[in-house]
Amino acid sequence: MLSQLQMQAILDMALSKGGDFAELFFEDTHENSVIGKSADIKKISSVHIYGAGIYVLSGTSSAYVYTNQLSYANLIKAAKKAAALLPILKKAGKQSVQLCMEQYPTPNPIQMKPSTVSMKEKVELVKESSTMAGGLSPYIQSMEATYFDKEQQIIVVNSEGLLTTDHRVSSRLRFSGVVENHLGVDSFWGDYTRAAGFEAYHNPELYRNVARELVNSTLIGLEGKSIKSGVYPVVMEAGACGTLWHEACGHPLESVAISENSSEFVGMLGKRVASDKVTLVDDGTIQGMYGSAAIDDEGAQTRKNILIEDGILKGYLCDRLGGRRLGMESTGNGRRQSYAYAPVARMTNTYLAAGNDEEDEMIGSIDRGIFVKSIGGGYGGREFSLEVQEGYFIEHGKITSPIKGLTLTGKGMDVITKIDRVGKNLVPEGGSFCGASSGLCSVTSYQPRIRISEMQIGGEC
Amino acid sequence: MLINLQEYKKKLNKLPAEVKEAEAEGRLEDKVKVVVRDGSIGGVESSEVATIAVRATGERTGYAFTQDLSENPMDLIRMAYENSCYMNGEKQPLHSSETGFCGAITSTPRGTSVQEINGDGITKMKELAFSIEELLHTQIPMVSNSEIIVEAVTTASHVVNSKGVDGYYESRYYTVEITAVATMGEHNYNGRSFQMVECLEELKENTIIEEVEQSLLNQFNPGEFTSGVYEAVLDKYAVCNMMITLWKVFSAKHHLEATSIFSGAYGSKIASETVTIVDQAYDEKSGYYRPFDYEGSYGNDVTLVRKGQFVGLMHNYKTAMECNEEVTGNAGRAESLIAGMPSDYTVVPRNIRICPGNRSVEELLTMMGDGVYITETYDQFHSINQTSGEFSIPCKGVIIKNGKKEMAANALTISGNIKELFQHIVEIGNDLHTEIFFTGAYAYGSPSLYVTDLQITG
Repeated sequence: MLSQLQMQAILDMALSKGGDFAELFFEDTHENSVIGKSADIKKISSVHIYGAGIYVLSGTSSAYVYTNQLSYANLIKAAKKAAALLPILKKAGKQSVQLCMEQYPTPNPIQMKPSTVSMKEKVELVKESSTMAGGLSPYIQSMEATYFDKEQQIIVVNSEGLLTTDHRVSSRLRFSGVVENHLGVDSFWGDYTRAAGFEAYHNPELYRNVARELVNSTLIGLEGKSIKSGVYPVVMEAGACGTLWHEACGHPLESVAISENSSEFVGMLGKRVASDKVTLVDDGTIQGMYGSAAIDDEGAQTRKNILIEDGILKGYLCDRLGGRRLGMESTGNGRRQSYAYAPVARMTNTYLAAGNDEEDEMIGSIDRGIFVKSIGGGYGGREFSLEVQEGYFIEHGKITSPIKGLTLTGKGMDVITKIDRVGKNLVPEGGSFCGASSGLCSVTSYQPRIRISEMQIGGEC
Repeated sequence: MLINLQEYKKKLNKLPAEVKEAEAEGRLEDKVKVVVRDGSIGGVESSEVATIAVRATGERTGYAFTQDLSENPMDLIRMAYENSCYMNGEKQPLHSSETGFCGAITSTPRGTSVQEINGDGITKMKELAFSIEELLHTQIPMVSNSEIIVEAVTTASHVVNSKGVDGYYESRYYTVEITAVATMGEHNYNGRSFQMVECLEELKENTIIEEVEQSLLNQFNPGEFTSGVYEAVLDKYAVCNMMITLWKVFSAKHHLEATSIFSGAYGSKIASETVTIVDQAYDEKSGYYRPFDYEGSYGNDVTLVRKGQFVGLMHNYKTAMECNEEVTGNAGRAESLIAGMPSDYTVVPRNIRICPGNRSVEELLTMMGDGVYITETYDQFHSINQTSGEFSIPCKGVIIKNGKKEMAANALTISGNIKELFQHIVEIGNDLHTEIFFTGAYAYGSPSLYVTDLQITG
């Protein structure tokens, strides 16, 4: 490991051609995966990700050099390269200041680090869970369980004197397979995710429920009928249907989208962008959540950011550079998949705050509409789309038969101004991955049950 | 470019008794990226990352990967071996020096060799980006914001194993991507175009700018759309997006696991006679080159669909043996987007494409007469189910009357089943377009397609 003086020398080299800020990001990550099908363990692999990135800013220009050759000599060379890549060449820029260690408490304390658990125990877990899941329905043609663990150690050092570290652990059990009955065949996959160590598996009922829901949802999908095109009220269930907010608002509120003018929320700070029932929060500090950490990947302490309050746009999500481009400070959202990416503003745990409306009334008061129970994934930008994994017709105030092949699309602001009910019961979700320009980051997106008074739905004519 | 596997070679020749055979693949990836944004350099990135992937076999095969180049090779081999001790099933076959690649390739089939990208090279990339930006704003004055990304990706791969395989290659490709925001009327629209080339000099600046212009104009002033079943021309960009999932139906892995809609249809007619789909080790247009794969299998070109007939599969060594077919050089590790380092020994394409035909897209629109021109598709990861074949893809398009563009239509969805879509391809365009998967694991391409009986809702 480098000494503090060596780190400072690297930062000074990075600033030597006129940069006004420099940062070193070190990463040492271990991951394991075990794939099994009932009693058969098909594959086991161990991965070691190891490298560092040197980031230099000059105003709103940046240079980023990354490598996995971490000797002092190589890192000085990399820093020199980063300095030379900056567009502005001056004699010398700022000098770094003396480093001072800052340490923040983690919202995700770990009881059993995966590195302390034997491979034998992990293999037993995969055998047990894949056998269990394979027995959930006679219509299952194949079922695999894949165990993943990750232990990431990062060190962030910057020219403002910050020296900080974080140790992050996550656990994941993926169920994937194929179901087939007289109605057809379909494949599925879904994750049980926890920002925790091996203690995540101490209550088997938790991951069994995930497998059960997945299989049932896929089988129900085979019964689905198509919907006719039209305008419908849509009720979205509490929990992971919060992906709506991730795709419809979250991505368009990230500083990259705002600074590149590719978001409908540009210029809307302080203005009404949603119904007054909408308060949207992004919070990287929540205990036990998949998107939480002590610090972001630029060393800034994570925080709670209110994005929309009672329908009024309050803020954007910024990393350091994104904030500079907007004339704002970082909001503690600079994140990246690994050292192989420069940090970019990304979501953490994004949720719609609970409201005051009765959940049963949302459905009971609809004559003809749609109930979305779960969402598979989606895409966000100027327009968003969501794959409905499990959706139902609402007829005369009751949830009736399943709908197949339903995709919800629309413009974010159009939809969120039509939220006319927000339930009282905020339900969190386990978490998943979000992909964007700084790679895949762990996030959660959740909500109480909500109703959208009307959405244009594409269907059969 | 060098990845030093000498220590690994020594250890592979002196394996402990319990390790019957082992293999190490060293991959060095060198990237340079220049971003020009709204008239100035937004950012420059440079990287050099080496990864060592090891598999070791006792009775079964286990895996270990590292980016810590100071790790003792024997420790990594041992870790892979210890992982194997918990496994069931068969061991993974390794090539011998007779069957696997031995040798060094330091240029592409047409002679392009990889030189280091130094200061001059980066200056060239910056100049190109600025030149494109200037042309963009001159030709499309309504562009308010733009970002031009020019990237050079150089890969070197060295595979060695305890049975004598020792293969090395280097390759490079360049990509140029434009994203632009234009203000037209009262609204802002996003446009994008992309090109992939073996040498920067081959980039067609005018083409890439015309494509951005078209992608913007195709969205302008959208109107109401009536859902129905239509004839449609699927633009090359729209089909390319679909190819990110579609290629999996031709993977031998999915075929054997019965997770492909075409499992069981090998040898049958699965598409119209206009359709031929191939996967090639080298594409001189895009520059993507893999003369051998992660296991040292020779990169053979494979025809997957010939005039509508399903005639080939993409294999790794294991699936080739299981299917009693020739290896094709399709062993890979990154089928999908995953967090962390790709570590799954699976099957991936190299340069997979629907082969182009002879018609321009204008001719396809004229042939169609009345219908819809689908210009963009989204959400490639969730919108197509390769097992059931069902798709429900959000997209944008233009309503076509008498072969001419009449009105833009946004917030559309095309839906159906891949089986029927393939059978309803009437004609294939001559405008082959190629893109690179996010992780760089493979290139994929398609021309525009004229199809019938497509359910489109809006």
